[in-house]
Amino acid sequence: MALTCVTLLIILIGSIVLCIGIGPVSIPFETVWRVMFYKMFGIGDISDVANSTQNIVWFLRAPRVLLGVLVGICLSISGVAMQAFTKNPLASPYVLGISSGASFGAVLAMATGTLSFLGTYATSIGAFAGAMAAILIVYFLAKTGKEIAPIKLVLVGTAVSAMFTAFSNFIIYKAPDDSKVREVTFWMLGSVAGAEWEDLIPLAVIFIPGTLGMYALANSMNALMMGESSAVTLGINVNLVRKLNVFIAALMTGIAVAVAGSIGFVGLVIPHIVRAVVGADHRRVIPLSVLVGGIYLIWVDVGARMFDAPGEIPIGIITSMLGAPFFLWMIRVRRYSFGNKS
Amino acid sequence: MLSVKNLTYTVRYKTLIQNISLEVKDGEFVGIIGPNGSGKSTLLKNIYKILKPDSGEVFLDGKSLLQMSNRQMAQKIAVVSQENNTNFDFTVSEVVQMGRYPKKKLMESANEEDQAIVRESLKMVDMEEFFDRSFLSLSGGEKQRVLIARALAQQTDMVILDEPTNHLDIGSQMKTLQLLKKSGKTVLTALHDLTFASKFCDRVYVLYQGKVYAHGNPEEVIKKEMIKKLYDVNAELFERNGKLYIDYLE
Repeated sequence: MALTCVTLLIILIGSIVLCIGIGPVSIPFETVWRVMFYKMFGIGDISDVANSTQNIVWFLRAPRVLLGVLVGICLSISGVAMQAFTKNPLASPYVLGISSGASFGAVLAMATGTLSFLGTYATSIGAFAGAMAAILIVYFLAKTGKEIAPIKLVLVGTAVSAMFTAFSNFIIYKAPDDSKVREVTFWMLGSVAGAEWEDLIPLAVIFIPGTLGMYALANSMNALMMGESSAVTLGINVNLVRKLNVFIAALMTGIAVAVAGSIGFVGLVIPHIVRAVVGADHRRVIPLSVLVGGIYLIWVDVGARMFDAPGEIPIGIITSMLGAPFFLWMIRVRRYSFGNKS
Repeated sequence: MLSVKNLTYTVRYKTLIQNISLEVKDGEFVGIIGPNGSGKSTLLKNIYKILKPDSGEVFLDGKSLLQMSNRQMAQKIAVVSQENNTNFDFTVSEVVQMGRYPKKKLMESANEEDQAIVRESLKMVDMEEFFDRSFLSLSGGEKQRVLIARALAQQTDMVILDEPTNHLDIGSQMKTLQLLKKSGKTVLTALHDLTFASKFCDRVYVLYQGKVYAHGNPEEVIKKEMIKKLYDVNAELFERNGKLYIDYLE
């Protein structure tokens, strides 16, 4: 397990450096490495590297690639949290409408300026509130007595997602032409393009406590996967664990959506692949989802940049093109039935 | 000692169990018998904190179980409920390992002692060769034995079981009950089979329509008249070497 983590960490760092180098202007691996080290730690000498190259590496590509990493991590961990909360591997922030809720919250905050007293974090906080609202609506509408029927959960999630998307679209089309909200494709399709260093701050602040919080719940979530009776009789405070799951999922999805729009299916695909390889124990699923989620999203972003270069495809289109068939495959081939596994 | 006092549980104006009192002394093997729907599971769920009783109290060694946290309870009582399906692919050892959770601190992982306890528990239910197998791939009976191993791994003085012999063939039923009996643990278990109940239980409580219909030694309680009234089945009972045998008639 430790070896796997170290290997993946090396792959992640290697991918970051490689992906910073890839683009319309290709920059050698070694130059990227030197520039990054110099800018971050003041080590080495980069006077031989052209200023324009330095700027491309440090101001254009590095924040973008790192944003991809952080968004990948946050969405993957949110996915794990939602799957634990619903006890269903088919749950994810996107499928359950949480991403749409977050988009709506962000769009609303920008369009109305109601949260402007919060400064630069208005969008993030709006997105978090939207994500939280979506989770609670889905949860209470899908709940029958004490049970949540998975089929109902997915249906309610789809409807809530459509509803919030419609609200967002309404605001976007009503917004004045010069408004920032007008960047329709950004919210609907998701993008890490044009990222700046300051965009990373809220995600960088959230992802460590969020991931550690989830890791601390690993045993509790394992027990919860075996059913509520099992969890209670194994000493788990089920209500507390569920509340923390929802809170962490809303926070991490909300912030990710506020910065990068709605990028679908990451929270579904990554934990599933990780589980297929190392099993269901959250002590392994959580750290590995962090690493694999980060690696996945930066490479998908490379695809988004390179497929139609010098033009770009929004990253959310690609994650959905990959993720939606995967979701169907999970239902069909892996026979994740809605309810009892036969 | 577990003592249940005047427990009543109602759901949507329907009283599922009414004014039930029972006692399990340290080291005793106590069975709860009764027809389907008589309230056996409901009673047990009220004891192990899945359901919250409308009135009444449950005490464990004089302390109120209802006031205890789930964790405090899990350190004293292990439970084998009827719940055994999951959508997630844990290995058998991971499932049994969960029995160690009540003793673990936040972020603390399994140590060698835990591993040894897991192996020992699996050995006791004859499932040691299933250590690395996927729990989902097991048959109903095998899953049940793994869950019993999980309860043993909790190393509590008391075990509560809800029809532990469901899904088990006769040989495994026998072994499971013998294992529990030999463990010296205090046992409270719902049981379907009257023959097994009389064979293993020190005392039984008979539930009927949510109330205690009778309780006492199996020989005193399990009678022709009771079987006729509760199950609507004619039966012939006879004794051999001090053991009760039941023959169900057409």
